[in-house]
Amino acid sequence: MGEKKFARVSSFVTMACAWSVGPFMDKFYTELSQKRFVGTRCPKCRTTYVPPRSLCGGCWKPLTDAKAWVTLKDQGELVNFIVAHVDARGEALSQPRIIGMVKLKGGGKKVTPVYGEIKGVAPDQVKIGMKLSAVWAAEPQGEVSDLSHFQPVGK
Amino acid sequence: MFERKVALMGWAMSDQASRIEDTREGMIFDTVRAALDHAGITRESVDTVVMCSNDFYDGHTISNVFTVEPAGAYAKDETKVEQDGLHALLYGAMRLASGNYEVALVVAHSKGSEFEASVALAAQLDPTYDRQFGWFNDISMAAFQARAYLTRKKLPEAVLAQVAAKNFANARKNPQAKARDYAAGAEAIARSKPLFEPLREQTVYPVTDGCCVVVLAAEPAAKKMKRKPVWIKGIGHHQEAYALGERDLSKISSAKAAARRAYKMAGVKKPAAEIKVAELSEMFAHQELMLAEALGLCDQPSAAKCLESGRFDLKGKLPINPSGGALAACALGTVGLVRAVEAAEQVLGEAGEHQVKGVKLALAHGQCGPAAQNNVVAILGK
Repeated sequence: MGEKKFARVSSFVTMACAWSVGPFMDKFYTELSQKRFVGTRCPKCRTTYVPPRSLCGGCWKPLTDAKAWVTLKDQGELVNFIVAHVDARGEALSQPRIIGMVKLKGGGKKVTPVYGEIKGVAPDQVKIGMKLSAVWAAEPQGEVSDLSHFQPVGK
Repeated sequence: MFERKVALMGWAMSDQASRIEDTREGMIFDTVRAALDHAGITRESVDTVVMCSNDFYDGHTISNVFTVEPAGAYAKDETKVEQDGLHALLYGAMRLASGNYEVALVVAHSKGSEFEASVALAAQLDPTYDRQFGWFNDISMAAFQARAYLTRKKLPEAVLAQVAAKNFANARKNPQAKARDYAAGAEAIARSKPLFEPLREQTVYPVTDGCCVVVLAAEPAAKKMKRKPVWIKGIGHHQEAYALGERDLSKISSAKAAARRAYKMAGVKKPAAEIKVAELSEMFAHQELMLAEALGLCDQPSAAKCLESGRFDLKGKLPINPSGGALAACALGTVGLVRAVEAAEQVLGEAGEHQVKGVKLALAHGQCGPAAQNNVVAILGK
């Protein structure tokens, strides 16, 4: 069967959105610019949400009390990781990047992990449970990239 | 429990492949007509239509305004869900169970060759944090789930390739699966292009075009129709937290809860013995193993050991994805409805080369959301 080429027409659907992050994430980003991680802790189940959440979905409790706020350490433990060979659109990266989920210290037993790139260790040497410390951007801007990456403690 | 029984009475699906020769509307029109013919009814008998697609996939807002006519929904009661086709089937079945309608049409479609799937799926994610990193889409999110599962079960990454190899072998017997070359065995799959390790090109669903349509009818109308009804014996739906960090990612607890409801409604006490075939929406290879455990389809604690023993093979005790599953072909949003059609054909003995012998009860599973956040389980039988 010969391949017939059919015409395609394109129409770009582009639209820049600018979401309000709300007061909780606003505080998270403001604190990030001061090289600090903050979260909120549910008074009922004692889960510390990092980034902070305005409610605990499981307990259906508002976390609006000033006492809910917790400042975490900028060190923690690797609880999960992937090795990215492509970006979010599938474009090949020049070299693989390790993306981790890191449980920060100072949030109690139940603390939700933050995302961060892991550097200073080869992809085949990464181990869940590794102790990591945050490396901050030289000039934090109040955005996710203020956390430059995590690296093994003592590196 | 439904107040009155609802059955699948007819269906059709397009090839699951790039369909450059068709517009979306043409693909829907052809598939809906084929499904009505299959059920032996005309458009006039249809009371309500539930569509499933996604505005981002379609590149239109409220995209069903363009598809009501080819779907046969013109001047009828029509609505749309943006989850999975099995959610659409659930809503269609509920409309019939309500007693307000007799016949429903469930129409799921998408044309992956016409949009950038990774962008559409990344747009599911939280814009205030997750999307800010620029790394995340549905594949990288699912890769964390794969890692969590492999770590908890102490499994090598190679097991993912074994799942895909089984499903590719099944897809070779499914004439409608045309999304990729299914020749690869486990070793080649394990060497396929890494995307977000532990996931690779061949342990992740391929994006295709496709349309899947099911005609549902409630009793007593169902019993008067031409074809044998395939009854929805049980159906369950459940979901968990959005954020990966708030879940135990090594388990799909919402699938377990959905299955518990479906089994209770169907009177299934021992799913591992009573369910004879399962069609699962394993968008990623690890999810088939996780779902097999969550849905109680294993005869021992490890789904990987079941896979190795041949239990899930086409000729095994409880074949999973004899069609090849979502790893074989995946028109986004149709996947769970395709699973329901495959399960219904298994019940009637009409699945062709990938038919499983003696199927009394078949299970169909659908999902949506990052790392299978939201799950639907349906039990079908005669």
